[in-house]
Amino acid sequence: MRGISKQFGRVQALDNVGLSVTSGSIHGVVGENGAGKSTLMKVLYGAYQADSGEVKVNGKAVNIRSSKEAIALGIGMVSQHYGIVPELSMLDNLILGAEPAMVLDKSAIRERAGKIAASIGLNYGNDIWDRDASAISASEAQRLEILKLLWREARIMILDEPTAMLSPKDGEALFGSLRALTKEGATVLLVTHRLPEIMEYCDRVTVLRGGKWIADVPVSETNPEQLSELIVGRTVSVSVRPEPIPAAAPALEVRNLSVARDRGTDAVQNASFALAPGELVGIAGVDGSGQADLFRALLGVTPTREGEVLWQGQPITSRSTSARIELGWRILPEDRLSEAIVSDWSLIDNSTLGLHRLPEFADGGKIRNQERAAFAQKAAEKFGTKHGGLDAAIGGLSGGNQQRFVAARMTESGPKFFMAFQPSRGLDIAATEDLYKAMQERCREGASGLVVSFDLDELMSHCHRVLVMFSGKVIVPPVDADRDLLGRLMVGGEA
Amino acid sequence: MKQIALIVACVVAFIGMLMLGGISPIEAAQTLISGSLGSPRAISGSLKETTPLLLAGLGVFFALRAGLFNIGIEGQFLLGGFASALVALAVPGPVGLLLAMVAGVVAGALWALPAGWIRAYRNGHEVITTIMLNSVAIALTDFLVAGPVRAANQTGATTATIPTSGRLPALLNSPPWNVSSGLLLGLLLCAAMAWWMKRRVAGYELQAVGANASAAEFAGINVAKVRMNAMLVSGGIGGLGGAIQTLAFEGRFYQGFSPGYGFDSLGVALLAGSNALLVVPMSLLFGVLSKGGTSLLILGVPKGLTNLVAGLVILISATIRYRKAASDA
Repeated sequence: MRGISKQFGRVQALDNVGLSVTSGSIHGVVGENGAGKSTLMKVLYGAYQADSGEVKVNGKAVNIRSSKEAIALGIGMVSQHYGIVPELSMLDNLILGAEPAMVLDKSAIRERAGKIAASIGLNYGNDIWDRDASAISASEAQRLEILKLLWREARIMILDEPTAMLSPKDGEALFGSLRALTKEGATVLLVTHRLPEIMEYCDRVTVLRGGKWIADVPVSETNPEQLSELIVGRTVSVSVRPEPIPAAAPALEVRNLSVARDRGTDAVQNASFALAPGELVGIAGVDGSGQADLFRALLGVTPTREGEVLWQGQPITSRSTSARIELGWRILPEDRLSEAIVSDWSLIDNSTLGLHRLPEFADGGKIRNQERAAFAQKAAEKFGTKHGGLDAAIGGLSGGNQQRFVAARMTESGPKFFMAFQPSRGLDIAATEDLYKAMQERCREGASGLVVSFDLDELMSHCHRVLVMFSGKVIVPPVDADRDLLGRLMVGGEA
Repeated sequence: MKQIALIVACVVAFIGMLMLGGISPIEAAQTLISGSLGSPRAISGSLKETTPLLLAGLGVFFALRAGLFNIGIEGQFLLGGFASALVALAVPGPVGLLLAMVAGVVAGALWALPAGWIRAYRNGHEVITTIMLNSVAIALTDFLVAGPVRAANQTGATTATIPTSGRLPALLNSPPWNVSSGLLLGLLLCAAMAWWMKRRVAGYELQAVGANASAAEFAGINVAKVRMNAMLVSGGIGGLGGAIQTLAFEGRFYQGFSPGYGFDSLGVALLAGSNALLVVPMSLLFGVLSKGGTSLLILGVPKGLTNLVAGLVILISATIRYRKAASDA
């Protein structure tokens, strides 16, 4: 792939990116969220069309317009979301969409399926092929996805965060299978944020940052420290980091908090940390490290499995979300559309969503319309939300303007403790600065705040302190931890 | 806007079906309008048909605003009508009337309770459970009225007739005009609901759950409780509709008590969209269709044609809701 560029609206997702992969190797692609890894892979297997640049497969220039064309060229992708039909058997899933003939010769299919499984070191008999796909584990589902690609005779396989759902042991087995494949000449492209995987299993690694190509190095000539430096990059930031807050009795204290996931390991594992009054604390980490689960549990939206949350010394673990809101807790949730707003509702109606029971906005059971309208006005003005009237549906606003509005709902409603998830999403630099200023202002008034961002620089230049989350664990680095250390911790490195 | 498009589509479909049956649409329209709005008598008849549709429609509407599709309104309507007949027969006079109305509300709410509980706390879909409860309600009331509570001197499967003193009085009774106070109750309830939805915190919460349940959770709203209560209230209103049907019009409960008011009311509520006040014109529309449909019998148009229209409305609205839900996910 050479000179690949791709633009989404005003965002340059890929800017003149090149990628060259030797056949028979495992090639890593790393970068922060938004670095362009997934976009590049989607261009390769035909989900996106590049605006410019060329793709060559085995020396021949190709134009891949769909995943069907990609698979015809031997390029297949195992995504994070498996495409398995639970009602069908393993074997039926294997051949689904790539049946060899109108009338199926089951014994021939079984024979070929067995050979394919053997090629990645799996001994699958009829008993396994006839199993219902609904009964298989995440790692089996992943293997089935790989087998599906092999059934379609893929020679170049793209795996996007393949170990995200796997236990370390299953992860090892997966890489064992991939190794077996590459020995037979197949090529594997591995998108990951886990540096240990790169170091252990990859031959070469390409680093992307902010949609740009940064480096392409043989793994044998690099180390995790250098890689994390390349991934995070060094940019000069404008704002000055606030001085650390002197130690004080904590406003918020989290003790040994664990949050269960639907299945598998806990989403948040034994988290312990504390926030002083007036402290703005960042949580760094790659997406999906458990930040959203931590926020949901702190707000009381999802139950905690174990542990305790204390607010000003009082345990509040069993209190409802509305009770926490009453205490002055506010949130800017992860997913704006599904968690923060009602798209069909007006800005006025949305302005008090979550605040609607507070005495400012409710007189007994009656909505205080004037106060509400005044607050909506104030919230819209705070960060310059552009809107077509406070009575118009918020769904008609751009994402950035919605973000301005819901961010102001958090900062302007007298928070005592606030949690902001990726607050700068959709905002330009000026609005981001304004928002952080407002959060810092609330902290100067005595509130405490937690900010999750995938952008380490953003946190380091605005927060008193930065914690790190990595695969469900909250790491509390020293207050003076530098960005090298934090960057290493974010990808599972040692302190 | 969506509602208007829906109505136009239904009218077109209606005309199409008439033409399929070889009936001139113009002739049919004339017959339908004269049969439903052409005389004081016809108008009174249309308003009589409108009343149960208005009440049941309000019940469905209430649940819909909480994001629940209470197809079980037919069963709740039947149970309400049945319970109120029993109470009105047991306790005479105005006190009995009042108690009978309360009994109707309670019976309807209780009939909705399992569906509400399963939806709120076990995430079992209310459409499935309420459809099943409808079948049970029909079979149960049919059985009771055919056996245990059947009036002694009657040939049909029916309760005894409630004396006039135990019935809802007419609002206007000067033949050929005849309008029941049940209609007024429905209108008052509609106005109260519209006000509650707009002005009360609880109404705000209910609609937040209906519009975006996960955002409602983040806003500290107890989604399960709201769903449970919404289903109870919806069933209660359906039961009240049944009670008014008994106490204002029928004077007794019998097999075949509801010709499908509950089902037509699904169309009423879906057409009303997000505005409670629109339940009134929509129930009137269905009431007129239902009354006029009777006149169409002369032209050879089967009586079930209004059901067809209601079915179409439900089908189209359900598709729109499904597409919206799918695109939100």
